[in-house]
Amino acid sequence: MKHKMKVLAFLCNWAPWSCYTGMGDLEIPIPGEVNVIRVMCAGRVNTALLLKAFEKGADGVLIAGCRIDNCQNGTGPEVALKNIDHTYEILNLLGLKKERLQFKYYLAHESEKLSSDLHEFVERIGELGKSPIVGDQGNV
Amino acid sequence: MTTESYGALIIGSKIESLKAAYDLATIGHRVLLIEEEEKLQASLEDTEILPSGARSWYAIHPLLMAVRNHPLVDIVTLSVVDEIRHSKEGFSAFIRNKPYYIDTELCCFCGRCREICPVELPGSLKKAVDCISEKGIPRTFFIDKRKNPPCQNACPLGINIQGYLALIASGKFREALDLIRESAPLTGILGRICHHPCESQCRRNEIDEPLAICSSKRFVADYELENPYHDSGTEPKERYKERIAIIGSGPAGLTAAWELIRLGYRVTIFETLPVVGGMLRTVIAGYRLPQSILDNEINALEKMGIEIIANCPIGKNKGIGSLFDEGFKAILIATGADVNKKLGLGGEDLAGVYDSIPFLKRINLGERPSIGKRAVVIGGGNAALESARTLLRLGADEVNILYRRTSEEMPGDKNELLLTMEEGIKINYLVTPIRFLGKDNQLTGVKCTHMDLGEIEPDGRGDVVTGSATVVEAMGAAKKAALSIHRYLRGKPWREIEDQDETRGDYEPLDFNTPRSFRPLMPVRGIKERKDNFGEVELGYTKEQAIKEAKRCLQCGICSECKQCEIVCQNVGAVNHSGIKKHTEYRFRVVVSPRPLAEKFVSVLPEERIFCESEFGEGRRLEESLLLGAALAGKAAAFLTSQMEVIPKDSKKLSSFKEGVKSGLFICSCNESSGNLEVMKELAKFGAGFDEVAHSEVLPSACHPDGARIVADAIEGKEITRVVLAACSCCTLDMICTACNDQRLRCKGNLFNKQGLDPSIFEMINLKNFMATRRNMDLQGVLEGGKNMIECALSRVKFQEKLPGEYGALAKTVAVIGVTLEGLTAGIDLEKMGYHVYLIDERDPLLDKNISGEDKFYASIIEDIWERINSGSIVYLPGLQMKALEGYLGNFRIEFLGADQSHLRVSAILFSGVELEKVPLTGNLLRKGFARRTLPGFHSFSPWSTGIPGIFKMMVPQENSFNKKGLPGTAAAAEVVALLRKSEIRAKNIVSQVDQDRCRGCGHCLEACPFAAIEMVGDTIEDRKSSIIEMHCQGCGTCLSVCPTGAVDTIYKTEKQIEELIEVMLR
Repeated sequence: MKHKMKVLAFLCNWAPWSCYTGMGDLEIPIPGEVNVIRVMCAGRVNTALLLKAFEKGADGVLIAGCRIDNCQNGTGPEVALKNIDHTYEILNLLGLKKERLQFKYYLAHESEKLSSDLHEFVERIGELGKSPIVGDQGNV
Repeated sequence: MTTESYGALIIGSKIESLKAAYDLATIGHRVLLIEEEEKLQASLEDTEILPSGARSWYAIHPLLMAVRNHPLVDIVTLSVVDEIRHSKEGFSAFIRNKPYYIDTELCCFCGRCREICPVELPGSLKKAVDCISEKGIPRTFFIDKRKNPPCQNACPLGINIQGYLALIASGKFREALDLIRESAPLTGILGRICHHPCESQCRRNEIDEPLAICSSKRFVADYELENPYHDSGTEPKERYKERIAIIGSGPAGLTAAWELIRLGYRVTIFETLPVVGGMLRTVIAGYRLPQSILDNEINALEKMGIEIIANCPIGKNKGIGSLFDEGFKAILIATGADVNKKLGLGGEDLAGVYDSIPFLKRINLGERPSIGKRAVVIGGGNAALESARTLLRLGADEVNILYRRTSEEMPGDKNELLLTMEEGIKINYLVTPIRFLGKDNQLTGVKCTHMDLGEIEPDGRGDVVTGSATVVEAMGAAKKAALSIHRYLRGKPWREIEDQDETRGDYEPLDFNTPRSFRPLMPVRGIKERKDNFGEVELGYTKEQAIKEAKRCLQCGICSECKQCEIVCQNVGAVNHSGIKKHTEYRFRVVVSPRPLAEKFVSVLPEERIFCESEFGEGRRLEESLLLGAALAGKAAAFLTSQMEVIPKDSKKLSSFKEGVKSGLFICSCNESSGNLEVMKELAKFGAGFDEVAHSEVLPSACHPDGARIVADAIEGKEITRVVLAACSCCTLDMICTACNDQRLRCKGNLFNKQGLDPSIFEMINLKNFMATRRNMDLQGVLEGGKNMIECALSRVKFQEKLPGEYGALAKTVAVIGVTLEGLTAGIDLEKMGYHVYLIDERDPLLDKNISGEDKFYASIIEDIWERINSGSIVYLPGLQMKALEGYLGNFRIEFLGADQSHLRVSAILFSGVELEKVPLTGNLLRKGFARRTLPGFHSFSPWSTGIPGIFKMMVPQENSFNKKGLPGTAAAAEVVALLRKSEIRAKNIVSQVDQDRCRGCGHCLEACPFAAIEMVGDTIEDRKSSIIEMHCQGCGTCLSVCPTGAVDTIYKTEKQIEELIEVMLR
């Protein structure tokens, strides 16, 4: 039996969250594999949380931030990218593919884009299969 | 009722008005925002696209929401100012509201009203009740009500015809019948024999053929006979002790009795005959109205409690007076007038000549007189047709009707006439009898003459079936009489003046392209089967026919008042069909309007109380609109300064933050719309299974005041210390972001402001959005996902920390750096608003007192500023060059090069005409620079922002006529004061904090912080620690993502909470 993928999506409270609530208003379906975590800014997602997610069995993690010149706080996406780059190095050491961690930018009205990105991401993770950290059994 | 009193009345809701409203309220003045349209205009979504690509609407949205959420702003939409009057206290505005028919403060935007509404407007996806705006203010629905439809106006009983047709069209037959019964009894009878004046008024007449209203009514009555259901009926609002007597059990008597018993009286009907029903039973033939139908309707009335005494003539033996003696307090005489006129012809007394009404009466009471083989009926009304068809059924071989005019003039029902002719009865037009021929006192023939069609006599002989009136008219009159009795017994005025809803618009014009369609053919029994008996001829529409016919209705009144929306909204109670236009008086001191004010208001108000900059036309850029709004606010605030309001503080804090976890789970079903109700109940049950959960329930609506009350009561009653609210609010913060909306704000407002609950104990999750994005999933999947979400929240709320409270007052000092026209006007306005102003410049531009030459306005500003400098209210510090600037909002320290007064402390700084790059930022500001937040496209758009809270830059649009009036300076002054006031009162509940034991003083956070909210403290390099400047911190959490030791954390959504969330989520 094919195991259901587990995907985490960290959504910044500003544009990405607005896209997500916009999905709700328009009843645009979200892939069932996606678990949504709202954070105050993409820049808040530190390496520790990302590693925690993979440690606990996430097959993929997507961070959705605002477009750089639209960041409410100014530096969020830049800081997020730095954090992600740092995390990539560790993922590499752990033998996890880079594709399992992604960063995407949004403007507040882009509900359709968020939806299609999430679907695409889930599909890509599906192709990669379950995370080797957890294995096929879904347990550590 | 006391009149509400406001500092400023703001007319219109463009961006300028919203900005003015927000700034004025934040400065501390009560504001009433009046909008003529059904929503605030700045909620339009098609505004410009900002250079960053963001839609400007999303930049404005938080402003719109902030205005909605501000405790000092009241918004009235669909309202116009009728009149402004001078009053003792100041000025009064009289405002006229049009009703939405939906309470905008209660509507939870579940959309069920729209879903159930049967009225679809042709050519659009709109319905009679439809959504105003998905994201605007108010976020609600609106019922489009027009004048009463013509059919209803024509009905003597005022039955809501459009309403029941709409219900039939959507297959709701019982509901249709219930709706009819709100206005009239005896539905099954009316549906058969009413002369339906409604149909002749139907606007469909102008297109093809009127609706078959009467037959549709019959259909729902028959439907009930075939599909009986238990109808407990509505209890009267009150019960009165008075007994009322009604004489006569005809349609009028029965209707009056029905109305009176519904009003709460005890009613007794006295009937002379042994049978009940009056002419319904005695005159109308069974093949039109079967006795069983009549019995049924009368039974229903008796079940309601009406007492009917037959065989009891009032008059001879038992007088009316005796009824009073028996204790009746009012008597209604409803005996009808079934007296026939004699023709006045010879031979009228011969045996075999009958008056139609007594003849029909005898037959209906069971007599079967011998009538011979050939019969003639004289007349063309319903009684004539009825008599002819009755004669046929009594065994006559040949029946002739003699009518003196043509079929055109015939008063009888056209349908009845067709059925009559179908049965082989011959109609002889333009024929009238001269006299009756007889032998041995027995009729043998009639002598007739041919008529020419002449003018109809003015007295026109009507239908004699009920004497002077038709059944429905008699019933209508009886209803009125019953109401008169009620008013008489209750001591009310004879006629009540009804509040007319004058706001209703006219019908939509007829669309002559409407496809032609005709009413379905009424099924009838075959002629052979019906000719020799009194069985019913017409069989009634089938279900399919009834629906098809009802769908032909043009829905003239748009909203049909079928009240289905009221039923689906009963848990929320937002729908109110009797919305009456209101005139409300509001007191105010100044008017702010970006558009020109009507002349009638200008003439009443003194010039200095009108703040209106209308000469700049339309088509402003967003930042210019904001500037104008702020400038209007600044001017008004400078005028209003003496009377600042204090923002009402929460009087009670029911639940201050306590240690120990005892949780409550509240799931909002959004009036059973957000997801499957069973799933919601399952989720509540699932939550209740956790050890720490002391209370778990599904709320009908969390944004309803009652929802907040339920939560508060449970917290108090069960000593709950943590709450998970799974509704549509995403957070507990008072921050407003792009995704927020009316309902989410209201939910938090009701809980935290009205009920005084502490946001610290709450965890809010947007379950509605979760459900909405999973509509395509199977229920089991949704349930599993929902359980996970609930479990995440319940485990997260355990780690909740107390959010910080309010800050104290800030020093009222502002430095304006740079003497320009705008800087000077800002200085003057800041001073007017009660702030101490330091006017600083590197040079001494005020020295020659005339720096721009001939400009009159500028000259007056220079004069004004010198007055203030001389009186000491503004401190002028020329020739000072900045050496250092550090600190934070409420406490900036400016150091100057080689001056006597070497440094200055101020709460805020406004730069005017100064190159920001050259400002010597030091200390905590050293690494910041002003680059941030000056880019357009920020969600909370502020053109004055420099990126450092409390430091502003003057915004001067290029080539704009309002620059000459110094408006940019006034706008900046308003902006400065608004931020200072806001910082004093706002509880900043998203700040970061530093664990001093874990901090290594590396300074990564200082570098990363976009808001200059971190300073390094400690005297030596070993002691160096970072510290959060709460005034600047926006809670973005960037600092903690770069902290190598985990010393920094946000109070809202701590690292521990997010870790917990990830763990539970991936379990």
